[in-house]
Amino acid sequence: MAEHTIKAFDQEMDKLRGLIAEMGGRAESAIEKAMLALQRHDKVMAADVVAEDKRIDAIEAEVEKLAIEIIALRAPMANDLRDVIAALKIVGVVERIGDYAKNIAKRVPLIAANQRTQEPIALLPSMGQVAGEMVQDALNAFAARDADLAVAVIERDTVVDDFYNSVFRTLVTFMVENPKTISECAHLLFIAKNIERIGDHATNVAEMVYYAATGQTLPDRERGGAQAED
Amino acid sequence: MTATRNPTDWRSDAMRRRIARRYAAERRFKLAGLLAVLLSAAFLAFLLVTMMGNGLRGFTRTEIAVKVDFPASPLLLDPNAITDQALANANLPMVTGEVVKKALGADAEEWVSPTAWTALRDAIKADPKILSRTETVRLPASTAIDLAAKGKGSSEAEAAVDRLNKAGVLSTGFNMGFLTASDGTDPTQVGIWGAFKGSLLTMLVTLALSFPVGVATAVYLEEYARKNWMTDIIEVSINNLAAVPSIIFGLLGLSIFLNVLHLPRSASLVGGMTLALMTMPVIVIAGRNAIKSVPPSIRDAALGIGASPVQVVFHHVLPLALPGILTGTIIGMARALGETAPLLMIGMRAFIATPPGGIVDPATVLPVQIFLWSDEVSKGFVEKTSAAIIVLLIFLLAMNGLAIYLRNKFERRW
Amino acid sequence: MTAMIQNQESMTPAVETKMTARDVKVFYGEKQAIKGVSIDVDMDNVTAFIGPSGCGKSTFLRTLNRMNDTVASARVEGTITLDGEDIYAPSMDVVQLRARVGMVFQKPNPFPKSIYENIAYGPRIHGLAHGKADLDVIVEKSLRRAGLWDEVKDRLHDSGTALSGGQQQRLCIGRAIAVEPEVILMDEPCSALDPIATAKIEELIHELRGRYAIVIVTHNMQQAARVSQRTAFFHLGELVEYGVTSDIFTNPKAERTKDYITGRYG
Repeated sequence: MAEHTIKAFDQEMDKLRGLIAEMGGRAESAIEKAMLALQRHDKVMAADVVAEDKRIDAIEAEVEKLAIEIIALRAPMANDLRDVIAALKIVGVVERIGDYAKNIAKRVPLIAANQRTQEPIALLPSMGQVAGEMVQDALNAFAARDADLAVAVIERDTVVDDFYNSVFRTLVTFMVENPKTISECAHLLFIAKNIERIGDHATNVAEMVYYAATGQTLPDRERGGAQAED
Repeated sequence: MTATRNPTDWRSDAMRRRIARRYAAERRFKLAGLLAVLLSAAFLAFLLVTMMGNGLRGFTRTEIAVKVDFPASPLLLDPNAITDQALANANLPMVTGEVVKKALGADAEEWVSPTAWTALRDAIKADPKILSRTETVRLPASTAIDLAAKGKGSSEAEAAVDRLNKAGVLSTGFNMGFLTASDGTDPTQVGIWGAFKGSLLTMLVTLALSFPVGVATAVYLEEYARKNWMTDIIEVSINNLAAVPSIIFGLLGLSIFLNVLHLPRSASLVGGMTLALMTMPVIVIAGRNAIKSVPPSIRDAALGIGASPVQVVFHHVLPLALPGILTGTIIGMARALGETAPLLMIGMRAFIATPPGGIVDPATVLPVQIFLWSDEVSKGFVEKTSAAIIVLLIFLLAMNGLAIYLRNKFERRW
Repeated sequence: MTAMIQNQESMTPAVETKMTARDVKVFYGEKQAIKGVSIDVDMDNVTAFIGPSGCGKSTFLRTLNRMNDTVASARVEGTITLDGEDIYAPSMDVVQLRARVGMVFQKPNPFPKSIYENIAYGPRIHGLAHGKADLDVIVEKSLRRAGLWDEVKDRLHDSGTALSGGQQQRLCIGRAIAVEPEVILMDEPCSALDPIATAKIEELIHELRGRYAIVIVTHNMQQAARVSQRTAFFHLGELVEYGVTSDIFTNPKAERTKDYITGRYG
């Protein structure tokens, strides 16, 4: 894409993209760390995740300020306008994703580290990994204005939904068999739900990226995770 | 390799010298301009001083006060029946001669002007009752006495002036005749009215011909004519025409108006037509410039609401161009007013002693009159020439003043 | 060949088309300034022409009321119709055409006459007023429509050139309105005005919409976005894209349009 006649405009747009890329990276690593802390029952790492969410919130504020400045001073049009508006909306969503990661991390100390919970916990990391990759890919698509990648992210949402359904069933079965773990498994259920929401939000981001890149809205799609629509 | 440049030191000596040189050049240029202005002012002052010095005397005449004892004079007039007819029959010139001889001596008849009797007549007409008493009447002096009184006379005249001065009868009065009379042979009796009227009539003819034709040409060339080689040629021709020496126009007038059209010789009509030829290119050029300077936005505005081209010209362009056209016209007219050469060619140098009654009567004009008088042998004509020049200059000043007044009056902002 | 992209899907079909241009080409001597433009102008929408300098938008605007006739070297090909009538047909009277298709220019150009005379001039030369009283009515109505009446009603006989720039431009719009045109062409009407005066003109354009078909040429894209419902993008004498304004400014189809409106041109 050709450069703007006004170079400072390009620099500001680049800065906006850079901030969102950073935010995406932090959100993904927050998800990853939260899952790792859960697996290893690492309370320190979990506390880390909670602390780092503050940085994500700060970036959100910064992006909002920059986007408003760009709109006011540069009067962006067409794809620039779509990019700025998308950035403004994406940061809100990614902030929510960060909050989910923080929620997961906060539950880590509440789940006792013992033999009994080993089995159900093992179900979650791969689900978390898929969701984290979706977040990463959606934000990469934004940086690269890659509509195809955005579509691929949206399609992957069903994978997370399927994961969630299977984790849900497994945990319910597990709780019936091991009533003593009901408290821990309830927490794990919420964590699974959080990961599923992360996937949904990544999908929303991908939709925004698609609009920003093409100027078209995606045709209505079958939203995954029908039973988890809350 | 890029040489690193030191930052400019604006306070260095070289810089100071540069600035000093620049200011010196500025001062020199200002001085040169001032000198030029002073030089032209000096020339103008010289002209004015000479003209005024010589010319103002042309507006005055020397008068001799003569005591007239009307009842004792050979005048046979009934104070109750003073008519022009009675005055004409009274043989006033003879009576005047007698009266003067009686008052000042035998040789005194030569000292008063041959037209001195008119002063007597005017006095009687003004107040018939003086016929019954003795009254002092101021009679115009003859040319010789007039010149001697102004310090340029012959020795006999000087002697006469001395005698008259001793008698205390000499005085200086305003020469009304200079403004009301026409050309003549005696310098005390000549006037510029005939030439002035001739100029006026000639200018009228010039204006009536050159203004409409010139403005129409300017409008056509600016608003209608397509820009091609023909209009280019016309434009060049008009510019050249404005620069053609005026004597050529005189020859043209001579060969066409007189020899082909057989119009009356030395008439204002022909003079005006000749000068119109000369003035027209000036008006065309001034008119075109004035029309060009009307902003195109006004034209667009009028066209944009559906005015036809003629409406655009007459409702908008011409009114806005008028000050410029008028200024150009008056400048052209002023030039025509001062023109002599072409008028000589069409015979306007004849001796015309009566003011013209119309544009086909023989006439002369101010500059030609000046030219004719400057050629006269009699010394009395020198001051008359200068006086005529003053009248011409006042006429020109008045025209230029009118130009400025019109320009300011019609000047509009847009 | 014109590479024109039309946002057909979002153009509402049921509008009254006022002027149509079909394959219009304009030449200045040898140089071709307009390369086959086809466009419809309708009554209900304000149409904005945008594009970089020298793209032909003003030239094209001036073909719509034959103001190009005054340029000796200009030649127009193709057809332009007003209510289905070919305006370049020999039977079309250009003086009447310009009364029906009024024009407002870049620089406010009131006549150096009184405000009243500025408005009254058009109706007078076209014989639209029957008597002084009728003319007074026309002047008041036109000035009211131009949003200027309240500001000048007490000084109708002052010079039009003594008004401020924005007032002068509204006076010029009033002057155009006074002859009851069907179409009003505006050639960068706000380029010489400050933002407040510009806003007043834009509001005026908004109010006049529907009563007259309005076409506005502007350098200011924001202005096109604010006042128009249809936008046409011209580039190098071609009509690159013509469509609903909101589409043009959020999602232009042609790469050239996008580069221009996002500030990547050149």
